[in-house]
Amino acid sequence: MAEKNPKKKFYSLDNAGVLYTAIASSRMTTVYRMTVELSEAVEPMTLQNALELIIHRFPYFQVTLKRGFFWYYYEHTEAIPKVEEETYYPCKTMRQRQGKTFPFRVLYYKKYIHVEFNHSICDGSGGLAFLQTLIIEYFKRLKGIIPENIGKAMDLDAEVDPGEFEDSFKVYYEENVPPPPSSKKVFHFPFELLDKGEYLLLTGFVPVTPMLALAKSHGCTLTQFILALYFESIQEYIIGLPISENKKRRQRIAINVPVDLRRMFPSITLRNFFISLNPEIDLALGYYTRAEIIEQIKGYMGLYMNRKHINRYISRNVRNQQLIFLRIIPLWVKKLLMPVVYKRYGERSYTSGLSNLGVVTVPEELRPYVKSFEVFPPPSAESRLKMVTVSYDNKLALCFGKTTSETVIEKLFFSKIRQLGIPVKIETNKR
Amino acid sequence: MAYCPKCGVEVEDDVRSCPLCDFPIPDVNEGRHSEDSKYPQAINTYDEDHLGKKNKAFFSITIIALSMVVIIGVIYLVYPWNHVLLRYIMVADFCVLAMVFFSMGYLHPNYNFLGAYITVVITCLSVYLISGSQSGWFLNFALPIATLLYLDVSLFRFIFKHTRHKSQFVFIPSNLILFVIVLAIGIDGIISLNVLGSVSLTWSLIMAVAGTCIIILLQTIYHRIPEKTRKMMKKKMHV
Repeated sequence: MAEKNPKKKFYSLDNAGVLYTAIASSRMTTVYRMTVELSEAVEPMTLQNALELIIHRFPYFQVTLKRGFFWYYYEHTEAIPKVEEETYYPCKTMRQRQGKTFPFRVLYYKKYIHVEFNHSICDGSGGLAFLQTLIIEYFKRLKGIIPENIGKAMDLDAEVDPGEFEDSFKVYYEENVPPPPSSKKVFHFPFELLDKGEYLLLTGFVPVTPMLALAKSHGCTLTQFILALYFESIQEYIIGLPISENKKRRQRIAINVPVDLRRMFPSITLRNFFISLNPEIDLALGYYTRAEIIEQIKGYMGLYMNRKHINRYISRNVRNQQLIFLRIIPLWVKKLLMPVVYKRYGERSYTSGLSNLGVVTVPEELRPYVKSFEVFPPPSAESRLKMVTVSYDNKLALCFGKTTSETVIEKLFFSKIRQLGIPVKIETNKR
Repeated sequence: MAYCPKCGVEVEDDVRSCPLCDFPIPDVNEGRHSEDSKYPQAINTYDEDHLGKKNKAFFSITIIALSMVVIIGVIYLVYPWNHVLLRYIMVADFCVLAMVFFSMGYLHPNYNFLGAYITVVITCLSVYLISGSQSGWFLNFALPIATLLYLDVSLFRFIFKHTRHKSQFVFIPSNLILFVIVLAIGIDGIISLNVLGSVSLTWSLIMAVAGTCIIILLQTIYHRIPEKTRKMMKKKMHV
């Protein structure tokens, strides 16, 4: 079967990829960014060499987006991606030029390497594997370091496993599973949008150990603790609104939390494989204390983060993709309708997003040269502020990406962390 | 290392105000800026990319419109066919091209809108002159109605600009109703002036009264009746 051949010419999009390509616009670029800070300035030539060496190990990323009649698809290209110095706003739209553009770009600026991925090709987990492989190869070229244990990075000499580019949604899809309950409309930030094409990033670095200790003292995981603080900040913002906005003060707050399904299913795919859950609090029921929010989140996750419930989402999504009357609509019609449909139905069920990529590691030999990791979410018009967290070397990066210049939520959020006695370092591209 | 004195977070050395609370941070680096900044001064390419696409579309439309002008012109000069019809086609061609230009948003929105108005007036005038009509419909109807629409839409845009961030379920219907009321009164006035010789409003008044009631109702729902008025009403109505 064609699916099993690692040197394929043609890759159909996975379930999430289909959605991402259909909704992409100049504002919702569906491009996310991963940043790594090195101890010294980046050598562009070496980085380019490293990229050229590793790209053959990722044939499923050495592709270009093409328009089919009904869907987009990825086609293999022999072109080699080029590293560029960062000059534009982050997560800029990826234009598709026949056979010349890639679904990712590698940028550098001073001590930083940024890799920006189109979400239609891979999720954070796949992107990190690529970035880690790139860093290892970069230092191999630059300093001759050959690490013993490469961790989650890809071995350049190994054969490409067909499992790396399988559409795991289809593999683990079960028929006849009923869909999950439909979602309700929730509170959205009323902030003014930035001009199209602009995107602001704001990172707060905090030490992991005290945060983890606090989470443990509340009897929850680190993600749940950050999520609770985030809920609390949004709640505080809403409570502080003038009394004339009374209706808003009785809305629900829901935060979109993607779940990496590789932990639940035996998949090694580097393409998209996640499902989002939406824990929520309903302000119409009254004010929530931190302990109550944590209980709410823990209860929600306990109830819904299991294979049976997740299966309902997978089945619904795959089934929707397979609906014959959706499939036969020509691509240009889909492209016209989908952004509107997504804006109306896709994003209305969550206020913001929080994605935790967990702990990132690099081989022991490289630790002195790699200072920090950051990951930023793709820009979105309805969910104007989103967060991704990632930790490396006892440093937790709380990375906000936003399409508004308001900072009120981050201010509340970080002041809560400061009040807990934890130092915060803020870095941003806002001028 | 620099810290924000207000919110207590550590900030980058080269920032002048706290990225969170905007509190000014004293410059202790004696002007050494931008060298340490993590991000470059970013360039937004959206306008450029967008303009490129727009230019392509406008260029194609212009080419089509100009070829039509050439074809019609040649037919007009060489072939003794229906000359009036050819003139109409020519006017329509120019009108469409001008409208496409103004709707593409190359100019400031106000100028685009004014341009569209002038195009409508000139097109009407051209049609009037070509038809050689004796009834004077251009001055009696076309020009006043076009001007009325221009002023009415300007009013709508002005109010919309100032209320678009407020509740869309209240202000958009209110605006639309106001737009319709003004339009109805204007058209009623123009028709009565031309037919009866004086302004006498009839059906538009009914619309105006009904519309105003709806607007007042919507605005009351949004703003709610002030406490003072509510008390007064309760007293008067013996509730």
